[in-house]
Amino acid sequence: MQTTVQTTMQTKVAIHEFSLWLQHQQVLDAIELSIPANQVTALIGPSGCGKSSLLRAMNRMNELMLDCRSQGQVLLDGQNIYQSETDVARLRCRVGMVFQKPNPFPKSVYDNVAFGLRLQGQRSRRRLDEQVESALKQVGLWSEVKNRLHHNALTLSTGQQQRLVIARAIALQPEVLLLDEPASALDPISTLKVEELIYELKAAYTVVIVTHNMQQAARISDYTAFLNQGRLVEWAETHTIFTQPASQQTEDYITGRFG
Amino acid sequence: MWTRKSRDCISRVAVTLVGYSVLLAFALIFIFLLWQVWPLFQPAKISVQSLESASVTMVDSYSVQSTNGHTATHPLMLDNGLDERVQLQADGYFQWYLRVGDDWQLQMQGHLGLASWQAATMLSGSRTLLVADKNAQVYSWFRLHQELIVRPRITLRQMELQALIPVSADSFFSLHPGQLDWYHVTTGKHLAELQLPDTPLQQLQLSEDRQLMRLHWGPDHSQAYQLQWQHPAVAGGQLWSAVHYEGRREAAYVWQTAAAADDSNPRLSLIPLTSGTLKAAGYAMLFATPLAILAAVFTAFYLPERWRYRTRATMEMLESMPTVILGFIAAFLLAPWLEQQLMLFFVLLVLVPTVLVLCSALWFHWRQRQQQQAEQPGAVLVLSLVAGILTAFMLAPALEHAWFDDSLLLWLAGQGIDYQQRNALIIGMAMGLAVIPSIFSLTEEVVSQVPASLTQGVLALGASRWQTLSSMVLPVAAPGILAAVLLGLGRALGETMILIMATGNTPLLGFDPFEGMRTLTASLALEMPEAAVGSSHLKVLLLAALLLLVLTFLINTLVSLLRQRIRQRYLQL
Amino acid sequence: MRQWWQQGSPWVWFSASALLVCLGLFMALLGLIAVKGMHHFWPAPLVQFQLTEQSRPQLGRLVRSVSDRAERKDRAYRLVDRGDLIVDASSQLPGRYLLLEAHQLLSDRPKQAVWVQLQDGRTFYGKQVGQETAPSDAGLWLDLGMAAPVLISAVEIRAYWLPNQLSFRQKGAVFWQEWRYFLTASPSQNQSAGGIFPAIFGTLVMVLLMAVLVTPFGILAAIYLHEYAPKNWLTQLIRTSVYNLAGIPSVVMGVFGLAFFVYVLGGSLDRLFYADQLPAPTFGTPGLFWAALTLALLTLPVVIVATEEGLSRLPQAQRLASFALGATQAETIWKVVAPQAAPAMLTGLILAIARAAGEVAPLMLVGVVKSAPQLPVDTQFPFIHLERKFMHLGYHLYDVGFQSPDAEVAMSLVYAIGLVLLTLILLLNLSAFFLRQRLRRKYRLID
Repeated sequence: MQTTVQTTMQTKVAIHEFSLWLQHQQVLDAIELSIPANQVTALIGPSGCGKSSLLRAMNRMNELMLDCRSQGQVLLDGQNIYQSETDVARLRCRVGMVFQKPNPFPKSVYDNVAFGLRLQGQRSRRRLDEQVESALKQVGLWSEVKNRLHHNALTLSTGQQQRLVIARAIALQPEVLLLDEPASALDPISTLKVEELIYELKAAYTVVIVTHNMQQAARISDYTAFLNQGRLVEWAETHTIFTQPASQQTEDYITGRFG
Repeated sequence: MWTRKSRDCISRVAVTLVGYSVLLAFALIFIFLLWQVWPLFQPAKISVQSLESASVTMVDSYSVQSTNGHTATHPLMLDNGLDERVQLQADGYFQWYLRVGDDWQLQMQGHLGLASWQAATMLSGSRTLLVADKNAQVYSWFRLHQELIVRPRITLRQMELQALIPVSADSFFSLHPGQLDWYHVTTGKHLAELQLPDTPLQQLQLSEDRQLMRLHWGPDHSQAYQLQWQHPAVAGGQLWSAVHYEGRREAAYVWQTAAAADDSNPRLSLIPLTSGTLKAAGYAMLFATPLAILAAVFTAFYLPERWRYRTRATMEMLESMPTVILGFIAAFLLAPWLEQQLMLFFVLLVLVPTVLVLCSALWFHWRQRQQQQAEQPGAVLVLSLVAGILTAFMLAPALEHAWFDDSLLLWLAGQGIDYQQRNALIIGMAMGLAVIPSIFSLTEEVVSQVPASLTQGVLALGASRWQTLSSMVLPVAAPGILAAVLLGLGRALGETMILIMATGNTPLLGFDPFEGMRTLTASLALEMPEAAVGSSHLKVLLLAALLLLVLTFLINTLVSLLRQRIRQRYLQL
Repeated sequence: MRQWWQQGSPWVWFSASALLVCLGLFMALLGLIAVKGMHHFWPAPLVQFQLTEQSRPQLGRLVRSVSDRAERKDRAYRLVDRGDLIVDASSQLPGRYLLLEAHQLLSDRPKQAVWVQLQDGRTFYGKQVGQETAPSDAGLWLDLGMAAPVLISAVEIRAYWLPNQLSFRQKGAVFWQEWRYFLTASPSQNQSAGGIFPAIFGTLVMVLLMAVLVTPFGILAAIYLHEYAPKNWLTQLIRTSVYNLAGIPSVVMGVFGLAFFVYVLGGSLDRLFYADQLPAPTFGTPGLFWAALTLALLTLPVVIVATEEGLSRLPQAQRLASFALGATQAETIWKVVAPQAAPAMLTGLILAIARAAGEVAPLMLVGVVKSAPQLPVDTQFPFIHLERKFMHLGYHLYDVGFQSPDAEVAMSLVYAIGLVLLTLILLLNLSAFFLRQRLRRKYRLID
């Protein structure tokens, strides 16, 4: 059963009849979902339900996996990103991604943030400095690392590393930011900081976050989609989902009866 | 303008190309060797030569009588075109002459033992006499000093025989009406045949290099043929079977590359070299396997982590020790030492394990009497090992004096056992040392990676560490240990320098520990530069290389499979 | 007793002894080479001996005691080196080395005993005539036990000392001086004297050329296998095969090198580009380039295996991070993956070099010679002479040991060569070992 939500929001990403097979196993089955712009959308569901795959479908990261086949459309600003002429590298600049475990490159903090910018051909030292600084400021890391910009990023704490990785992604000024359980590897304080950050980020970006933590979804997201076994069960404003779920499955899940 | 996309594309193409070229280069090794070796197994062929090459002069011609062989004049005078000549009577009485200067000297005479015969000839350029009897059997004899040696018979086609015509030093034609057959004398193999027209043949001519033949049926009816037999030294199956060569008393496996004076073909049996390789590898494994496996098991299971790491690192370093150094030590230090101290060697071999067993039993009892756990002692062990070695040093001269009258070597010689200084024992030790690190590293790896849950379970049941090891760990790790042994074997089979330096390089058969050997690898290294391009010798060496390549490749594949299996087994546990 | 057997006590003792024996044998081997190799350069005292009661005393270097087991045991001999011989009527005795009985050695060791080596590598032991402590301008008058003293002119003398007078420190100085000479001079006197510089140089040039050939191919092939090749059973099969090729006998590679590179490729090159010099072959004969190419093929799997190990140890998250930032595959490989796997590549390269430096058998087929008149690199255009034959440490060791007419001279020299070779290879391996350790630690940090 699917719910459609009438929204006045502008749709940033529209997923239409999207199915995905990984290693000949169907992971997503005809997903129909709209991601509103400048909002935080949370994808929740039991593990193995396909929420991470759905997230990766939005910047075509699934293609890096073995034996991947997809069907249907994912429209970014009305353009199907699964068209053959799509420049995947360009797409991934527009749709940034942050992973479960912080994965900074073993380079300096500065080089980490500048990595994507340099790929884009940004050579001017001054512009790079500005953009790195602004990205680090956005994630609230500037004050902590401004004296250690040229230290190896691996010397930062895990929480700092995760924020650095977010800074690295937003330095490219993406339109959409995909977060794959960004706080699951972090301690509670770092988690809090990352959550605050996500909340601030939605002013500038469309955020999609995968989480297995219901409270987190409730705290930070505006919309929540619940997936189970590769299908979209329910999608609604977050408070609706958590207060009056339309589907029995959703209710079972958010009240902790399975998952 | 190089866009990012095109750079990506170029990188992909370039890397893929290099990858393919490397893979191709590896495949090329196999393909090239196969391609080179292939002609060795090409059968002989007689084919019509359509283009008359007038320039080739026919040096030998044989006229064929149109009637039965009986009309041949007796006595028949046969010669090999060089220095030997045989006069043969109708009843099989022969006189054998040798040319000395300008005279023909009678060397021997007698009966061939045949009541009658149809045709006879001597092979050109050799000492072999061929006689065909009435039953289409061809007997071949050669003279060795004053003795006539018979070689295996050849059975011809059951047809009227017109003539035996020598082609080369070890092959001949048998000419029948409408049929020409080509035989190899040394192996008795039927090489090729040719259907002839029914018109009676008048003359057969051969070129000097024996590559061209012309048959004449009349003044204006002739035809040229090409005789193709690229590798007569190999093609009859000489590589792997015993062959009775001219000049020898019996069939044998012979590796003799420098052509003997009376025979232009090298003798290329791979049996002596292969057996040498197996013998060398066998003795090396005999020496290395128990030492390496026991040492590895001890390292993995008893040594504390820090020492384990150090031992492993040391062995890893030793794995890359240049074998030329080991070979030198073996040849110049070990070999003379062993020759002097053979007795000591055997005494050590027997005494040290005995002393160890005794000491271990004594220690165990002593600890038990003291009501203590019989833990394994470091210092006592080293002491008893040293004691064993010292005892052997002291005991050996006395024993040698008592049992072998002061010299084991002389005693051995008295027993008819030939002791060569560079022998299989030396190789066993030197090459054993070279393969110990390989076996050790892999064994240590598989034994130490046995999941701890397994060992702890058994230990919890009150088993001693050794019981745990022998009842649980070793059976689980067995495929890995087998892989380690195979890895060592692969290395031993391919080892070269030690074998060149310390084997004596004589192609001997058999597994006598006091004799040397010549191995495939040593032959490759020593003979390749001298073998002429395109010769049978070179091609046989390439065949040997191909064999080694395939053999070691298969062994390594087996090692990979076993390692993969053991990894899966560990994952399951 | 049963308990003793059941608890496996003897087996534990056996296995511990096996470990001790293994390590002991190796340590003995290494120690032996080190000691004997060093000993070669330590100035030995000179002794005096008399061949007969009547003959004049001569000087010689005591090599070692010899006891021949075939004879009676109480007859011990001394092996004495009396140096190179100046043949004249009074010294008709054969051989540089003499087996002497104990009574032929005289007890006193003359202070005036001189060890002198000429520029051409000949060594003489004699008594200095006169009291000068250094050779005069004209040269050195030496009493070599012949009828008259011999004058050795000063220009001919390479080195000169009085070993019986040297203090320990002076001996040390001589020791280092001789080492330096050994490492920097060319062999002389039919390989039995002089240094091993051409062999070291030849080894290094060959190995460097090999490294230049093997590095790009090995690394790119590994990157292809790991990053670009489709991940299926065929790739896995190819990968296993390549790994297995690391274990094929080196001599087989030498055979392939000779039969294919030299005879086929070299022969074709000659026909195409050096036809004017035929039948004298230019590339159709073993030489530096073919040797390097053969060893490159031999060590290619080593580099591939090490590089792939490095690539596969690199966490996948690093690649994903790069892709997620909009990098193309090439950018991911060259900017993220390759720099991080570089130490692994370096390890592979060092291992390859260590293996190549120790290989002798394939080189015997594809280009090494006992004595090369010219170095493969010189000041003549084109500076690196790829077609030249060269000398190699390992082969030099084999050659000096086995082909030398004078086995006794060869023996101690061979230990010295072995020591140099062993040191070189152990150093290379040690560096590879530590590099790999560092790399593993680093990856653990990232992951």
